[in-house]
Amino acid sequence: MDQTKTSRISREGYGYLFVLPFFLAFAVFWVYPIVNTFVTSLTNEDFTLPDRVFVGFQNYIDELLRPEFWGSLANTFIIWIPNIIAQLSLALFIAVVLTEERLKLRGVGAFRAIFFFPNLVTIASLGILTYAILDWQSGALNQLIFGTGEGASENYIFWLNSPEYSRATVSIVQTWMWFGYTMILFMAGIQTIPQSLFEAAHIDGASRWQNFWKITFPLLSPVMVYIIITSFIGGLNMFDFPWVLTQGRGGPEQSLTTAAVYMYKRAFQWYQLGSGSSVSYILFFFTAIFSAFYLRMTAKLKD
Amino acid sequence: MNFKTIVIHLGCIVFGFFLFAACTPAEEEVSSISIITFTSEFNDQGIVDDFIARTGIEVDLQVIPIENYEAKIRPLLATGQEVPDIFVGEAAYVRQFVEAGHWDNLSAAPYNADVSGMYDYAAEMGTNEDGEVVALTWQTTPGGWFYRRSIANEVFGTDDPDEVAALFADWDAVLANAEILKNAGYTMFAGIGETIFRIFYSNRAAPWVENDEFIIDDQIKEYFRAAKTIRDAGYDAKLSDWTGPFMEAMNTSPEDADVFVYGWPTWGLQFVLAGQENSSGDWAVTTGPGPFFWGGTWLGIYKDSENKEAAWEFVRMLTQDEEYMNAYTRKSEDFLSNRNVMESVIADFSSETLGGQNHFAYFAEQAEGIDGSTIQGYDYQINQILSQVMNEYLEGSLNYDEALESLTDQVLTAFPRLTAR
Amino acid sequence: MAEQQSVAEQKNIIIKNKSLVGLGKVLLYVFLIALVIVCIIPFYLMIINATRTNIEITRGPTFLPGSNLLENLNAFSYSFSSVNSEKLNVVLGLWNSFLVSTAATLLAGYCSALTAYGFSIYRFRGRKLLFGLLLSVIMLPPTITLIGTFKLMLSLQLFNTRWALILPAIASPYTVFFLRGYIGSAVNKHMIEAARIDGAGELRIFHRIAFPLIMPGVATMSIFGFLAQWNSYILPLTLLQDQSKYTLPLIIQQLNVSNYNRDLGALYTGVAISVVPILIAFAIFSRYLVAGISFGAVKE
Repeated sequence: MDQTKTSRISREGYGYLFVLPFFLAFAVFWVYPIVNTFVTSLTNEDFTLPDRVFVGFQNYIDELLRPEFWGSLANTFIIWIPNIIAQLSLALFIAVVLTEERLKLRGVGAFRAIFFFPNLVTIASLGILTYAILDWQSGALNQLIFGTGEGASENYIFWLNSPEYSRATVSIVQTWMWFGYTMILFMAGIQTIPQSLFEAAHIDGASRWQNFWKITFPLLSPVMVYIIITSFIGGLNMFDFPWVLTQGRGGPEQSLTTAAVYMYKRAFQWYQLGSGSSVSYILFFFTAIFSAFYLRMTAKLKD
Repeated sequence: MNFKTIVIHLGCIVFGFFLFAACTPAEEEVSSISIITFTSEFNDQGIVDDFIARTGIEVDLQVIPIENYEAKIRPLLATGQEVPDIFVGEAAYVRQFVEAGHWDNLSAAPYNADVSGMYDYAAEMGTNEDGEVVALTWQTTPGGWFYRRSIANEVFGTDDPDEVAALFADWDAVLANAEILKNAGYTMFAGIGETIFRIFYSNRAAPWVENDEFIIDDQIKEYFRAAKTIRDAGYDAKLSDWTGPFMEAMNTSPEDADVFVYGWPTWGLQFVLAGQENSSGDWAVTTGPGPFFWGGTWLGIYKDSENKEAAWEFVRMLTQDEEYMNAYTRKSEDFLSNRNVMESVIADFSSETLGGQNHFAYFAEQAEGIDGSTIQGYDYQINQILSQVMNEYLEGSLNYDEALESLTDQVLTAFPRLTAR
Repeated sequence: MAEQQSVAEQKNIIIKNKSLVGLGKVLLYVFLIALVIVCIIPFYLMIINATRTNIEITRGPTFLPGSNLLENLNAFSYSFSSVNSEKLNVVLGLWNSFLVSTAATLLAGYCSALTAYGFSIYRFRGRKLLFGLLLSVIMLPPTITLIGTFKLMLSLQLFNTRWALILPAIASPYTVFFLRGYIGSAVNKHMIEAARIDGAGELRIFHRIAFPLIMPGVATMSIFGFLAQWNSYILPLTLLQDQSKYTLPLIIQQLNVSNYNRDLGALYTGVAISVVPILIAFAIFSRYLVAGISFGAVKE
């Protein structure tokens, strides 16, 4: 009796061994960078300066007082908000249509797969592709709109030299990349809704429109919250696409300098690692708030 | 299976990788040097192969793309980790490297570098405030305006470089002749880019930054005005530097040629024009409205290098050994930093791309007039910002005052320790 | 009577609905197919342009292929061994990406299965706390810790090595999170008990009994892990310096900024080369991918 008890305890101890490699790596590759970034943010570390001095929260104060920092956050939101609205509505509509039993659409699997495909493609490649298609002189877009005949190039629009068009481009490409992904999440969400609810509603004479607003939409709200939060965090850290599209320059009037691009420029283009780290931590702070908010929301929605 | 086996098992998985990674750097051998550079010619022009063949010293060469180079080398220098024996600096920031003291003093023993044969600016750029030479270069990069012979003949009735130079005597002449070209159905410039910028930039009285103050020199203001005039009058083909159409305009055969002039430094001939097969022979080089230089690569030996002697062998071969340099310049058509070498080559040289012109004679003259004193470590970043602002100004989204203001704001954001004058 | 009338009415409504549904269906198909075209056309243009010359591309778009594919490919034909920046090394980039992605994926798959198994089978002290710790970083994107990671790799002397991209895969919180859920449904605890009674060691049980059962879950996560590594941009950009170690996205970006000789045909070809492996992975695994991403939103 005693024997089995001790062996049981030592056996449960094996759990530590199983999770050990993970937590060793976790300490090195997660915890250390998080702590180190914070420590760096309290110094004036700069690759072009010889000495490193502790400066307290001065970097945070400096950044929060810089219009360029707020400008980069504003860029992030100007790009993100239209994208999330378009993405959610498009994805929700298609998800409802494709899962609608009574419509019996064919090729649901194929549609789902094709819409999802842009999400898998390397963002750097998409950036180059977009750049080439929007090119002022030789891009396909201008050539398709204005033709290629004599004098047609007079009308060509220099898309990537306009802040509005540049931001719109990123917004549209983001929507294009993500609506299929979002649609799959919605479809999965819809499939968890018990069919009996719709049947009951049908008996009560509810229209399809009512079904959607009374049953589908409320029951999808956890999925919706998940999408908005993850998309927000992703948006706050959007780097690859604007970076590649502007060849690391930030676009016209710095319109594509998103928060993450700004952070990268601070640290790796201007070599001010201290300031750059403080930007990281301000973004980290936003991310943490939204994650916490998400956990709260889901907890509430479950009740 | 017991506890011990498990520990060993896990240990192997986790630490094996660390050990393996930590052990990967090869054992130090005296007969091997490491070089980090952004230029491809160490490989392409066989410099490394020549060096290995001559000395038997192995070379570990890392090529970093030029736009990433500065960002990659700086952390190495700051932390002192994995710094190669030899690393290079580009004209735009070599001054900063020179003053930062990362490079060994080459004026002293055992190196005793001799810069008496070098063009003055090439030596000055690699010399620190104490008069010690810490970086050497094998090339000089004076520039000129490369024009289409076919268009010059048709519109101006001559393709002689001296006569064409008169067309570019000053900016007023350039604009007047641009009008003539326009009426004849051609454009003077490909776009508002380096061709125009380099001349204003090289002729500034003050550097970008003096005593931590950001300064917009009058030449830069002139640049804004000239660029606007050129764009509004339709004297350029509105092509952005280095884009596909920009390159294509250079490559068209003489019958289809449209753009008259491109400003390039010495390396522009070797790297850019020489590759344009359809227009080969249609080019000649002459003086633009002002002298300029563009780029250039300096080499130095890391002060804590463990292979200084072997590293010096490499630097010496490329920058001191006149015999090697002589052979190299004939092979690569690159314009080198040593007067004696260039003078001996000039006597019997002509370029096919330039329709038989002896461009070395031209560049040798230009190289004497170069002044590198306004070049600083800030320039690369500030020039990038400037080109962005210029686009916005040309498009009309900023007026002149707003453009200068935007330039100042963006520079101060990038370098918070500066103030505006 | 009233009842009869209502039945007739209902019939009417149904008939009306049917023709409406018919029209609506057609419109829906038109809409969906238009979207399909929008999703595909950039890639189609890319492939077409990959077969055309710089001049042809400059002159205008077309939907018919050209004949310059071999020439364009030739721009990349340079070897594995030498770094030649005039010929951008897409082949080398493919190889580097493949190496890094495969190593990281294998490591992440095995270590995550190990960890998830540890969490779901054993009831050791503090496991809730540890798992909470793991969950706390699940949404943390790499940009936020970028500077710390960069300095870490410098001090571990992993900077400018492929290990800097591979080793962090040992700690893949989301994969562990996913697999813990998976193990709950895929591994039968009675089987493990039975194996213990037979005298098998704990690690042996994991390898011989549990791991094969978890394998489908590991495979699903591996597809994602592989694609994430394959597409990763900011980390290699920050952690690699030597061009000969560059992964494909970095090489692709080089196509767009490299000076000297810009060739749009070669540029499109390079981008096409980077997309093809993803197309293949997509064609084979799309079902698993769809199942995998649904998990995040509708778990429990």
